[in-house]
Formats: sequence, structure tokens, C-alpha cells
Amino acid sequence: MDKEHIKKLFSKSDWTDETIEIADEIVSKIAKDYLQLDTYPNQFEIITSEQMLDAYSLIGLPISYNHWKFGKDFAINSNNYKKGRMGLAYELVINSNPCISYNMEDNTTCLMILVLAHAAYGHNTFFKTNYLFKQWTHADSIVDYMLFARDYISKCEEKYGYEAVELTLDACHALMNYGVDKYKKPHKISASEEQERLKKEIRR
Amino acid sequence: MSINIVDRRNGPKGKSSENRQRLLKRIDGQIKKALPDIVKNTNVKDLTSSKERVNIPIKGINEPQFTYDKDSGDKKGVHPGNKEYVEGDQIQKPKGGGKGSGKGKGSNDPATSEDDFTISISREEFLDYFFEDLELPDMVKKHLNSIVDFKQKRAGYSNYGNPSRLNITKSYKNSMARRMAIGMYFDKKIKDIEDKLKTDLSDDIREELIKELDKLKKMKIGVSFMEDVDLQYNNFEKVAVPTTSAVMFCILDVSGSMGEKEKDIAKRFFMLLYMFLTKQYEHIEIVFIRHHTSAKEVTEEEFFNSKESGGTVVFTALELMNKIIKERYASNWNIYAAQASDGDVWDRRDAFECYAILDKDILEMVQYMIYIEINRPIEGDLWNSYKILSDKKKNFEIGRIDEVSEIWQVFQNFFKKKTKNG
Repeated sequence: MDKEHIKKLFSKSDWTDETIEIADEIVSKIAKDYLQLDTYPNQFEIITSEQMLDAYSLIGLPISYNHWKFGKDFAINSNNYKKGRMGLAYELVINSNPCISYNMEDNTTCLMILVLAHAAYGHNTFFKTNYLFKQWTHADSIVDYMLFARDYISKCEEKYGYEAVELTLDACHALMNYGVDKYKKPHKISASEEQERLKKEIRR
Repeated sequence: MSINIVDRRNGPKGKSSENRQRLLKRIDGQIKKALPDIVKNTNVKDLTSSKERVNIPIKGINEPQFTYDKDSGDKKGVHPGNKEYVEGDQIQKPKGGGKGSGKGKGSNDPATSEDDFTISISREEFLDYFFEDLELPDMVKKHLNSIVDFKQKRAGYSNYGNPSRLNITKSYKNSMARRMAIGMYFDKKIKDIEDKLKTDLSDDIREELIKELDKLKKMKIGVSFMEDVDLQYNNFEKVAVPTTSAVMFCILDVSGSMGEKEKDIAKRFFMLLYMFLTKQYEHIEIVFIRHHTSAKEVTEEEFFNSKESGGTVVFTALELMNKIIKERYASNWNIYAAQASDGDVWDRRDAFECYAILDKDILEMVQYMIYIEINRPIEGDLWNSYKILSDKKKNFEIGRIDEVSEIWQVFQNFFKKKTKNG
């Protein structure tokens, strides 16, 4: 690679696809060879702020069923954003395979490279290797599953009328955070146990 | 392996537009539900004032969540900076704990707490919601286009006008164009002479030419910055705007039997009516009449805040109204009237006289008249005679209100959109 050319690319604040490709080549080298991160392949998407607001309101999911709650979140977020009370994220990553990251179009080159390393490799490897994610999520099928859920709910709306479905969903949303018993905290260990543990660590 | 870059910027926008639609649909219902509360709780006068936006607390779009009860359970924690306690100390729970404040579910407190979702709509939209299903009773506005109002409208530019209407940009452009054009003319002449001077000439001619050159140069400098022809003024035209206008009579009984509560109900009702009429007419005048044993035309301030009281003779008020109509609003006015009273009349003769004057005079002239009886346990003489009248006349309606919360309902009944057959 032509060093001068890269230097020139990276010292502009405007980025192009080429900038991202070269940055990815470098970042992936560091991630794979030096840090030995295990990642899903990346899908790097460029979006506008409006699309980012859309993504916000769907809790970051690329596809979701229709519900007024999402409309409300959108209204609140966009109002806050337009009044300058809130900035928008530079990126938003989805735990899927390939790992989709949404990146804001108005990021500068420097930010884009940061976001690339942070989201496309950092979050990505966490998604792939974290034991809880491994246990509870399926990155290969999440998008398909969301698609199924959306179609299923719209079918239900056709069958039972949207009011009935909405009522059910309202109740479901209240329980949303309790769906999975995600994590049992290990009990606190006593001082003597801690001593033992440390000794073991040192011996190793 | 190279990265897969997808540019979504030109992709479909408004992914959540369907969701937003649903939210609006939901809010729609909620606003309608909130209206009676607004009539009950807000100072209706606030709504009629020229405030730009109206905030409506919306209750139906909060999302309930399970949380820990903050008044029960064991909690451990040491607040930094405290000098009295260490971890493991036990302190008494505050008394009265565990009961809950009753603010959440099941609370029928209409006062809004702060975390309610409020939507802000313009006054126009608000009134639209407010009077959505209502219309003036099936009657033509009698005097459409009766009063002609004049409105100033922009009509291009003119060369003559008032200095305050001088259009600086336009005038400056003209001046610049003129100066450039004249300047170029002089430049050309000067150049011609200078060219001539370069050739061989006799001294006489040369001197003359130099003189002329000087003159031209001076003239070029002397081109004035602004001339009268440059000046442009914003031009306005008077345009006739047909407006519909109405007068509303508010008649309030302030006799001793009308307490603060009754007056408040009447006031709210009048305000509603006023707001409703403002939607239909561009120009509205209000005449306030209050009466006990004698009637008097008063200002709005006096009307709602009067301390005076006495017995009740209703007829005097109607007589006064009749007089005012004939004096001031005899022609070209759409007349509405609302009368509020507790229905307590001095004697039967008064009720009869009221009936007569309404039947013969007033109802012939007014578009629509409403009588509301407030807080009257039994139907009195006035109610009975008015009842006969309202059956007889199409433009006279009566209703009763006992509580503030009923106002909206009664008002709606008066102005419900009537179906063609009904």
C-alpha cells in the first residue's frame, strides 16, 4: 500500500468508501493478528440522522412489529434531538451474523475509524464470544426471527383486529424486561475465600 | 476479507411512520377523553386568551413497568459523607411506610403529575378537537358577508410612497444600475477623448479636448448616489374582506340565591359558547347583562366578579336585551344569547312575562338562544314556561347543569351535529 496515499486519505475529514476499506484492512489486522479477536463478518451501513432516530425507536433492531410505543419513542427522541437536548450515537451495532453496524453519515474520518474499531470489532467480538450472548441469543437467525415476529403479529392483527393485539402487546411490554432470567449474580465471597482464591492465582 | 459497506442513506425513510400513525391514533382518543377534564380544571379563560399552544396531559400512553416498592424490603447501603452510621447499622423504617402514596394506578386525582406525557398542540387544533362533533344548529348564518372589513395586502412596488415604506434593497439596486450605466457612458467618452489626444493635434483643439476631458471627469464623479427615480416603495392595497359577525348576549342571574359555585358554572358555560362562536365567526361582540331585581349592562370584569345581589326578576334582563338589540344590533348581525339562572323567580307573573317577550320579540331576532338552569332541585315556574317555549320554537333550547363536570355534556347536547333526518 502506498503510505503517502493513505496518509493523505486519513488527514481529510471527509471519508469515502476507500477510506473505510483501507481503515478496515488496518484495524482488522490489529484485531485479528495482534489481539486475536474472534468476530462475525461485518456489514458496515451508512445512515442519516433520521434513519438513526428510526433505529433508536425500534430499540436498535432493524425490523420490528408496529406499535404505538415505538412511535412515542420516536417523537420523544426526535424532539429532543431537534431541540439540541440530545445528540445521536455515532454508531449502533446489532448482534447478528453478519454483524450489522449502522454508522452516521456525518462522522468525520477520525470518528469513522474509531467507530469501525469500536463497533465492528469491539462490540462484534463481544457479541460472538460473551457466554451470556452465546447462551441466550442466536446471531445467525435474529434477523429472520424478527421478520417472523413482525409477520406473525401483523397476521394476528388481521385476524383479531389491531385493538386486541395492541392490548396484548401493551401487557407484554410491561413484562418485557423480565422475559429472561439473564443473570444470577454470584454470592459475595468472604475474606478468607478471597485469600484462598488469590493464593491459587499466584500459584498458577 | 474486505468489509461490506452498504450505503443506506438513500434507502427508505420513515421506517417508523406507521408507528407514529398509531401513536397519533391513540393520542386522538386520549385528547377527546381529556376534554371534559380540561373544561373542569383549567381556567377556561386561559384557553380563550391568545395563547399560541395548548398543553394537554395525556394519560393513556404511559407504559407501566414493574419496579421495586421503595417503601418495603431490606435495603443496604451507606451514603458517603455521613458520620453517624457504618455498614450493618439498623435504622427504623419511616412511619407510614409500605402504604404507597396512591399516586399511580387507581388514583382518580385529575391533577397531573409531572411525569405525565404532555402533548402540545396549537390553539386552532385544540379548538378543532374541542368542537369536533359540534356544529351550530341547522341554521344558516343569517347575515353572511354583512360587514366588510379592509385588509392591507402587498401589491408590488411603486415609485411614490411614504418614506417609512421605502424598500432599501430595491432602491439601492436601481441606484447601482443607474450609476453603472451613466458611469460607463462617461467612461466611453473619456476614453474616446484620451484616444484622440494620443494622435497629433493642433494646440487649439488639444486644449479644448483637455478642457472637455476635465469636464467629463468631474461629471462622472458628480453622478449622484440616489436619485428620485431610483426610489422604490413597498406598495400596499386595501382589499375588502367579507367577514361574518355575531353578537353574543350573556345573561346572568346574580341574585342572592346564586352562589359562587353557580356563577362559576355559568361562567365556564359562557366561555365555552364564546370559544365555539369564535370558531364560526371572525368578529364577535359580547354583551354582558346581569340582573337581580333590575338588569344592567356591565363589563366582563364586573360581570363575573360582581358582589351585588338581591331578589330575582328575570324579565328586566330580557327587556334590556330586547332594547339593546333594537338599538345596536337591529340589522346585519347574527345574534346569539345564553341565559344562566338558578330558575328562582319572584312570582309566576315574571315567568309569564319572560315567556311573552321571548316568544313575541326576542326569538324572532336571535339565531339561537340557550337557557341553562343551574343547581335547581325542582323544576320551577321559569323552567316550566321555558319548556313550553322550547318545544314550540326551534331556536330555543334549555338544559340543566348541577356539577362542573356536567358542563361539557350539556354543551355537547346543545350543539350535537344533527343528522339530516333528525
